[in-house]
Amino acid sequence: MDLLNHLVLGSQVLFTPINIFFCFIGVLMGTLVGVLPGLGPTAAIALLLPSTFHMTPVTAIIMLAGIYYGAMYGGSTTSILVNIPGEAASVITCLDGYQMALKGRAGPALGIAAFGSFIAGTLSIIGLMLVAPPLAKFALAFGPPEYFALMLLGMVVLIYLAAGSMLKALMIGVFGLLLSTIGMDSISGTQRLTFGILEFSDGVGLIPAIMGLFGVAEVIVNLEEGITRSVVTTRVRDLMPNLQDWKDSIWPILRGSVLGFFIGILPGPAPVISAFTSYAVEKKLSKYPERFGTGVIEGVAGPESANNSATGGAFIPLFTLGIPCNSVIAVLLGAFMIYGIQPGPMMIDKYPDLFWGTVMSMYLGNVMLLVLNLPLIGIWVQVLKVPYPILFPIILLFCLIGVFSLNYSSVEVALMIGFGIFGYLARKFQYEMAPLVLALVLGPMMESNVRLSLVISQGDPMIFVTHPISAGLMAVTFVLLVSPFIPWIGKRRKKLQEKVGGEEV
Amino acid sequence: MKKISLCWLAVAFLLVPGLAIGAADFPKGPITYIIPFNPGGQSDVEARLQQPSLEKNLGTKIIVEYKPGAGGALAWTQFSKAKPDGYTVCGINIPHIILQPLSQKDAAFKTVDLKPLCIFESTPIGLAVKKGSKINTLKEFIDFAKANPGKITVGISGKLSGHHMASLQFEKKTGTKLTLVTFTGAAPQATALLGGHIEAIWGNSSDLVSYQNDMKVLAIGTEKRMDTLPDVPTFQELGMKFYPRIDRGVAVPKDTPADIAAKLEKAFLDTVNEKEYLAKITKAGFVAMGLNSREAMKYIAEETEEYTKLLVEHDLLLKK
Amino acid sequence: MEKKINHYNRISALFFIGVGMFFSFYGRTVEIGAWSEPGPGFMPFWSGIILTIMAVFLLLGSFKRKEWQVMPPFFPLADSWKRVLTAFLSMVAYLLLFELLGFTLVTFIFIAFLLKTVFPQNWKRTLIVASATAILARLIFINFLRTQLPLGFLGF
Repeated sequence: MDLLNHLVLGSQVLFTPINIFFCFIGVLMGTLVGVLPGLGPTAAIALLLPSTFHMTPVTAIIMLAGIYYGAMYGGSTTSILVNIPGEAASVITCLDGYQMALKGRAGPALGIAAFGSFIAGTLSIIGLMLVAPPLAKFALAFGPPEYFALMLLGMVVLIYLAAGSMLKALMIGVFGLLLSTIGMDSISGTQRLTFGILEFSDGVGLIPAIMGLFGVAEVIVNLEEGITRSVVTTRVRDLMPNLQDWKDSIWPILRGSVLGFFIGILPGPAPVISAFTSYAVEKKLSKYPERFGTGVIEGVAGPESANNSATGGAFIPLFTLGIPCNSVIAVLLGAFMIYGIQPGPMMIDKYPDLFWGTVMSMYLGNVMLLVLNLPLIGIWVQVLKVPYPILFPIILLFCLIGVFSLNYSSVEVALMIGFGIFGYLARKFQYEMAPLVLALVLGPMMESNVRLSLVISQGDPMIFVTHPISAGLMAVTFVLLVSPFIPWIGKRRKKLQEKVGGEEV
Repeated sequence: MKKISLCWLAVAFLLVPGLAIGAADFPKGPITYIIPFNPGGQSDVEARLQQPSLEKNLGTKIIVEYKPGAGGALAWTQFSKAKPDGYTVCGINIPHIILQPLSQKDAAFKTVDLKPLCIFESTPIGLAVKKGSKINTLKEFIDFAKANPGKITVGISGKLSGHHMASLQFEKKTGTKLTLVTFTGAAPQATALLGGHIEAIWGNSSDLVSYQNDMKVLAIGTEKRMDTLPDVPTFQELGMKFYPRIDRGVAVPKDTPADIAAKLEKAFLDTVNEKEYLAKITKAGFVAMGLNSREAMKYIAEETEEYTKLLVEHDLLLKK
Repeated sequence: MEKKINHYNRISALFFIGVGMFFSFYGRTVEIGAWSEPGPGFMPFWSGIILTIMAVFLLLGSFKRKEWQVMPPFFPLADSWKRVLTAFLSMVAYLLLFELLGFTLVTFIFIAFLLKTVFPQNWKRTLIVASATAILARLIFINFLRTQLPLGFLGF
């Protein structure tokens, strides 16, 4: 049995004290940078790279990979506790996770995020082992028209993200697309709306945007109230998800895992997209979609599983094609070259110890993360016991430092403050911010892919329907868009509106 | 848990090596090595490979700092105004530092503001098609392109980049017309070729080496065949005087005192001429260059003239 | 007079109409390009038009007569705006000062100032929390994670 041999090989590589030790260091560091808003895995890996030079490549990759999936684990913590998404992938966790925390259910929210991540992580590793080579071809089938169709479908997901007015959600989404065009056009090199500020030429940073829109704006809204309220009072015995929580969450976790894994294979910001998609799917399938956004556990379980499983998926193009599908993987790829390993399609055959050792370490790392994170929940919940008048300056500080530490750019910090003001005002006018974030993520890819498609087809828009995959995605998009007008689906949507007291779309 | 992380902090303190003091006056403290691109990119990898030996040669710590943005223009603009004391050096790429001031409105630096210490490596650019394509040789490619003007889609990464210039020069030399598809980086470009969404790409040698099992490289821009691509002919062999490539080096601001610059220059040259370093970059598909400061300046001046002509021909020169 | 959601919608619709038209016009100045080669203005132009159209719908909808949801007052308390303004200005001040004075010192001042002004704490608590935060943040970010935060002219 081939696979068995490989597993044995992987275990032999992994179970040396030094590798286990650095796997632990990796996930520990990962959890830390994941919890700290702003500072993400890319920065952490780049910072730690020099200290791995004296290690063997396998040890180094085990540690660096640990940082990556460890950070995905930790990312949900601040979203749930104080409404600061540490990275774009956990924006969606804010919607229901923070609401749960306000209701005194921070413990179960954190717990289900940890368990969901564990289950999804494990499933995606199994997926990575079993189907890595054939699936690599799947990523190749996606060219510019397919990506554009996928992004368009992503935009339509906005409809399901909206808790209030659909029109306003779509508007804020398109506004996000417009913001994403600020900066240097990646195709022609033209500067757009940068006002001569070179920092803007890379566009509106995602992290400054989400930390401003969610973190800063939330703090400011809380400051308006004169009462010095404590965020929540949590009874200690409610730290873990109960049986009902599990019943509600198990399917979202499994669905999220599968979804995340497949989206993870595609280049681009897969963890973000998979989290948003999972949320939309759960809301669509739910018996009580109107309660999404008020603190339902499915809204945490699905997306958190999806973004973790996407990290596993992201390793597939790396190992099978040598293609980095996001910035973290790109840094890992760079690390391979430093160790003198030529990445590319032959990597698994040429360096089986590296591949299987890393895969096995991911199993162990996931177990370590669970063991590490469950006791932490108790500590995190204590954070909420700190009175808000003392907590809020610290939250603001973490937003400021977190954004600065990304690129050491004051302009980005100023941008975050600006987004804070915008987010604060937008709340007053009842606009939701999640669609804006999704659009900022999708915008650049959507733009370059629609333009590349048209160049390839020499200006013929039929390219989007003559390619089978893109035609399929377009068809789904179309059905979703017209569904409000088809009576039996429309009725459900209307019922939903009546329940939340929203206005007409 | 808090206690555990405090323990780690203590360990981290112990691991921080003390600042070594060099024998001579310079350098007295750590030197910052600015990378104008994202971590993990080729410039980063090179810097990381040089770092240990540079630290040994200079007797001080080297801090690698990333300033990505505007295809490098952000870092170069800031760096051109940095204090010329030798404590900050910056990676440079050619043709980037030549093309940006000539063609981008907001790139507020001049090529001559950056004084090269050395140019250590060159990445030849090659023309490749997917394995299984009906085109097998450069001649077939040119013939097909001539018979079907504008029909061949060729992926490049970045407009006004080395790839773009290579393509313009190629079209001019061969009298062909290609449809350029501008991708945002090497990875999506390679993915699109492997997936059959475009016909051909202009690719960096390092990527072509990685993908040589899935692509047919028609020709490469070196003078001699590359050891890592032994079956790939050069453009020169095929009768074209055409050497598209991207070069990497390192620079200081132009007013840096000569003796300090000379010291840095020597440290860099010693580093990049080490056998181990050369072996690693050669294996990864690069060509070692080892131009010293004076040679590098002359080289940049020649290339500037060349590119200015090309930009004028295509009306891409920035109008001031 | 109490405000209803349609008043708010009307104001924001006008804002977004402005934004959409601005981007559309801007798209034209940086070249929309041809269908066979869309330029840098392609996306701003079309998205701007779509946003404008949607905002017009929102604006028209807001004139419909119906039971509109009543909105809470803009500032819940009479002195809310003071706290909001203080918080924003403190962040701006932090940004302006910390490259000059160094991360640790400015962090201390920032925390102490907010603790003392927004929901006034006693001096003892203020100083303890502010110094603890400054020191811990320094340990985590500079000594452990080795990020390059500015140390200022005082060197810490």
